[in-house]
Order: sequence, then structure tokens, then C-alpha cells
Amino acid sequence: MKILVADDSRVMRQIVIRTLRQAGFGGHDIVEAENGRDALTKVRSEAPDLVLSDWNMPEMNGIDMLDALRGSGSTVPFGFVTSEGSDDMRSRAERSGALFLIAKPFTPETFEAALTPVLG
Amino acid sequence: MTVLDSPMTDDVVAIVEELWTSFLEADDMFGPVVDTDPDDRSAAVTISGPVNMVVSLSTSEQAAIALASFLLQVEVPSPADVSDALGELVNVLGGSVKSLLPGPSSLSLPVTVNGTVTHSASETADTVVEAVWSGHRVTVVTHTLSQEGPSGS
Repeated sequence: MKILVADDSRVMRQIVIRTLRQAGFGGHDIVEAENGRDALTKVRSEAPDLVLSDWNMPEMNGIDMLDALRGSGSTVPFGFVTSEGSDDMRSRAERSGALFLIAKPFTPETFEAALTPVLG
Repeated sequence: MTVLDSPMTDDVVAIVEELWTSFLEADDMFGPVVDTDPDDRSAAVTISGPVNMVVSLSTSEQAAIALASFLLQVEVPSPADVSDALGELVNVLGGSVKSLLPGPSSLSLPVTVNGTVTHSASETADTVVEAVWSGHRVTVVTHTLSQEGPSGS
């Protein structure tokens, strides 16, 4: 399976990739995107099985990217990995079609619980 | 060591501790300081809402490089990586502090600087937490910029 990790921080993308490995998802292919616009392009070109995206990013933020994906008919499984996890944001994410929202800082156990239903 | 106490201090300490044990894989957020260099690298985020607040993090150049090296698993991180590492750490801290404040509010993208973040006299320092990571001192500060008064007053 292929996982697209979208975050404007290279450090955070590496933390997410390291945590995926620690949570037992190390065998999957990883594609990285630097912002929402880059991720939107790569969802189309790379056809990932799951998108893990930050919320606050320059160029295009995560929620606008998700809305653009759903607006174009994409049903790719999508989860947020973000430093903000308010009830409002969780509701907004769910309304737009996100499966989950993981708040930073996170642990491998959090990833395992959120991603296992998607990746098995 | 906590050097300035406030009603938020316990929460901020818990937030720093969570970051230390998860992303920084540290057993403890305190311990002996080996690095005595001055704090010449800083990063900050701003929370805007009913309470406007700056959350900043300051540490030495040596510590900033060590943090980036650890987080990226590279021996020699680039200057951009060092700024990115500090920015992401303060971004995560800011997101957690934001959850303690009344909403709705928004979190800025992080800004990193060489030197320390200075504050005007109108800003109130709420909490100062001096944590230690791998022998390096890392200071986390929250400053209230302004706060809405009670409604109807």
C-alpha cells in the first residue's frame, strides 16, 4: 500500500514516517508532499491508499485540500495529523470526510489505533 | 526546573513532558545541564483569539543542531532543517497550549530567529519552563499579549 504524508515541515514528515514504522506500518511505500497543493497533485499522480495530512500549511491548507479532493470525486481515505485538535476542528474534519484526526504530539499506539482499520 | 509559576504552569509542564516523551524519546524532561552555551536560537508561534498569546522556545545553537539531528536522523542537519526542527517543536507546543485557552482561536505558522524572542512591557509572562533534553537547556515561555475582559462589563 502507499501512504501520502503531507506536511510543510520536513522534520514533521520524518517524525510521521518514523512513527509509522514504530507502529508496524513500515512496509508501506511513502510519498511526501510539502503542502496541500503538492498533495493534491500527488494524490492524482501517485494514487495513494491513504493520505495523512497536516492542517496548517502554506499554499493550500489540509482542509481545503480535502474539500478539493472530495469535490473532484476522490474517495481516498484521509486522516489529519495536526498540532490542533479542538472539537470544532474534529467536527469540521469529519464533515469534510476525514476518517480521523491525530493531534501532535502522538505516539505509535495512537497511529496503530487510527490506521489499522484502514491499512489492516 | 520551573522558574515562573502561574495557573497554567502545571498544564504547560505536562505539555512539554508529553512532547519530550513522544517526539524526543526522553524519559525525563529534567536532569543535569551539560551545555552552558547561551540561548541563541528561538522559535515562536502566536495564538489569536479571546486570549492572544505568544508561545516561544529558546535554546543554544548546539542544542538546536542536536535536536534537528535527532529528529531527522541525520548527522549534520542543514540550517533550514535546524530552523524547521525548532519551528515544529514550538508549533506542537503552541497547538497544545491553544487547547487550554478559550476559543475560537487560531494558531500562526512558526517563526524562527537567531537570538532570543523579546517581549514588550505590555506583554505578561505567564509561564517559564526550563526543561532539559540530552544535557541541553530548552526554555519554553508563554506570554499573554492581550485578553478580552468579561462580557457585559
